[in-house]
Amino acid sequence: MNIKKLFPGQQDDEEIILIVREHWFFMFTRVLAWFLFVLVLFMFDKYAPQYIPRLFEEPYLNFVNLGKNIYVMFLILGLFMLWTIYYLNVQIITNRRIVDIWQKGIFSQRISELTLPNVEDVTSEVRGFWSTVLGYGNVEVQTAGEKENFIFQNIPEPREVEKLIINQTGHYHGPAGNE
Amino acid sequence: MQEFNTFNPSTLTQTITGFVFYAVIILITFFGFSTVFVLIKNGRSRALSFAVAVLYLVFFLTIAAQGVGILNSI
Repeated sequence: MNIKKLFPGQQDDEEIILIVREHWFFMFTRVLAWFLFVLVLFMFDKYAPQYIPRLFEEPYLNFVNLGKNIYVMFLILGLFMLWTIYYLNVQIITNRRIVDIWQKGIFSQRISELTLPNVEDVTSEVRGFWSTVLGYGNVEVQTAGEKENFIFQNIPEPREVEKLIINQTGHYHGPAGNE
Repeated sequence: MQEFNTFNPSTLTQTITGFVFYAVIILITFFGFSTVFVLIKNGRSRALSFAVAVLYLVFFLTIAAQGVGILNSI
């Protein structure tokens, strides 16, 4: 069977069960913060002519327009980088392991893997008003040995993800216990 | 204050302004193209990665061209 490869190191017969990203609400809050910077530009255009009219006369007008142009370029770059980092930050659950791809920055990426036989316990947590209303939370995967626990932070449907991981590890440890 | 009232863009001012503008363009180009490269290299959906990268490049080049036009009028 020809399985599409979606991450580096994926085995030929390794099937991807689920791809998990941070809940959309967190991207929304970042975009909202970005939008405040856009608002600064509009406020400048609206109020600066009233309070600093000199700035909108020749020869200063061209410098103001150039400054605004540079500001817009930074805005566009900022939004692009925000989206890229959100998109590349991902956890992948396959039929063999859990892969955590953490895009810390544009030039910094950390990939952690945990094979399913090494999963000891899985815990999901939903805490707080917004978490409950929007349905996001954390899933902690406890590992055998001294390895760090895997934590899926602020993911949608944490309970479903927890059940899915437990079901997958059941193939290695035996059937999952009664809930 | 008198100098400020009679201020006119000079060759030196245009040179400095141009230098600053192109330095910013180079900086943004470096980070922008790095982001495009990382997105296309690591993105799970090639189509989506290319689409977003092209969208960004179109916007960036349009604004940059506009900036060059403004710079030429200084």
